[in-house]
Amino acid sequence: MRSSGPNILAVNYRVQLVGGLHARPAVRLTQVASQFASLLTISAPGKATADAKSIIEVMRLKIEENGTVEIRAEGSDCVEAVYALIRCFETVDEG
Amino acid sequence: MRDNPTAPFDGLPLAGGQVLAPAWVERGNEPVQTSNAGSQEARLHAAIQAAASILDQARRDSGPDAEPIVFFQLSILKAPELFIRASDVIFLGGTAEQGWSQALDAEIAHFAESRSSSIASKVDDYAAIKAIVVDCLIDPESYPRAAPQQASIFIGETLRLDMYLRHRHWMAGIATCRASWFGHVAMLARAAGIPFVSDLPKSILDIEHGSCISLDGDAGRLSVSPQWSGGRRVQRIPAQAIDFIGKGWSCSACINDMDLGPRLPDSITSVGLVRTELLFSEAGAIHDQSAHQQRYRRILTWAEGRTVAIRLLDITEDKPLAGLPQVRENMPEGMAYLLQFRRLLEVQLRALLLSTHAGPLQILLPNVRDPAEVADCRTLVSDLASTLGVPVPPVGMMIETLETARRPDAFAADFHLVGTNDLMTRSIGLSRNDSAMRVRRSDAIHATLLLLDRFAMPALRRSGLRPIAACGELAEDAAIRPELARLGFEEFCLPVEHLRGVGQPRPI
Repeated sequence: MRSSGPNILAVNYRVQLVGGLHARPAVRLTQVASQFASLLTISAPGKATADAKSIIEVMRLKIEENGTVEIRAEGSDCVEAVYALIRCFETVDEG
Repeated sequence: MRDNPTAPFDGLPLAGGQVLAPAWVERGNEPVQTSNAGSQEARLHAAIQAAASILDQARRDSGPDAEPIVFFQLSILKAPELFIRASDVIFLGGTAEQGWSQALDAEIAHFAESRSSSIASKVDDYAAIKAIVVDCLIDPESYPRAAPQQASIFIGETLRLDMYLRHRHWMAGIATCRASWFGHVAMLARAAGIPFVSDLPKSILDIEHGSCISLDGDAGRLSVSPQWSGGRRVQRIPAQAIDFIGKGWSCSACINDMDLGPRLPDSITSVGLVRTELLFSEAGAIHDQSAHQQRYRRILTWAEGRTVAIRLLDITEDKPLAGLPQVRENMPEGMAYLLQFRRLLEVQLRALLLSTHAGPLQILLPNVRDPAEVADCRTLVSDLASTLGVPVPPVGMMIETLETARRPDAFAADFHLVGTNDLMTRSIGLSRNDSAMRVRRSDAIHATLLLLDRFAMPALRRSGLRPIAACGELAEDAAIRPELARLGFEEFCLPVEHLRGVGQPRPI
């Protein structure tokens, strides 16, 4: 975990969702992200960075099981936002 | 044209079970019509709104399995990125259809190249979203497309989620050329127990509408039934061949609370079990005859003339009821409990007898262990009916104790219902609350099947009382139902929401 300033937090996270980021966790992730004021992005190695509040962009990342992503937040609630997104990745769900 | 028109088609099994039903073949979508009239952007906006309404309705109508999946599709449908990309195409002179198709095709191409089959399966979601909006652009009023009037096997190149949700009520089976194990339709078909075979050759689209098809979701095989081989068109299939999920048995409804919901599907001809101990949340109501009557009349009215088997209060150690002494170890439970607290039993029986005018009802005795319990209760029912001046309804019993399972013919009941929940735990000497049940479930299933096969089923067949019916966990398990059917069960009593969730095909 690294902090680039008082309002920026970036975390590297290994996704352990079985089969990768499916529809339901992806929707949940974008819904949770939308609750925060921070600018939230998710990026995967070799792929474009996605706005975590956009279902289209998050799905395009095609995040696979055991893939590593960087979750980055910029804003006053960056810490809460990052931890909320990590919880989304940790919730096991089919589909 | 295939050399041998009766040879089976082999494909990939996606959802198990066998079904025999007429074919309903979809031979591709209607051609996309383009139009330059009016604002293309406004047309697209209206079509997206219409598609969202359709999906939203499907979300409300669908069971808990489908709800989050439809929600995902709605999220994609409303994503501003897609509309903006389609608008760019329209700005350059394209139609709404072209704009939307190009926007979605870009996403589809993105997923199609994925090496992960679970991620590649998202192609189906995006293709469905593309198609439903294009459908709405062509003619929103024509949606959904024509459907067969009888339970049928859907045959098509692919099956979109929205089409499945709108049409699942008649789908006894699904056969497609393209689908994924991870696809949402396959997932829902598995949950609903609808056989599904994919990766079949495109020649299945040449099968005639109405041909009798047998689909084996376990082996991944589709055949034109030998009974009707030679290209003969099938007009009708016997009703008993197509029932719950097309497997030769029927279903009745089970009521577990007073939230009855919409009317029952037409194909459900009876209510096989009302668990009355679950209808009372207030402590005092259980002793109030009018509170009982009000509940039973409401259920009978809702059942619209179907026979309703109402089970007497089943008070056991794991089902304590507010306002009643709790069952402790070595205390009587079930029927013996009611006979001990006779005033409560009389309150319930009077309420039941006074509700008979609201519809045909049967009285079902819970957790019987001794033939004398049935005899005592029958005498009480007759005496009360005589006093109240009403006819004596049939009195049946649950088979859920070892005593009744071993020799059901020793009990003078008018009908039976095998309760698999209690039977499972008792077959291995545990109680429902015992944590060991979780790890010994397999033992319990096999012990129950052995018990039924060796003792209960031969006696029930000899009794001549029909149907031989089961409720509870084993009956609700789509993987075990075929085994129960092989033992001779003819009817399964399933929760109302389960019956709606699986989309009961209509008998012909």
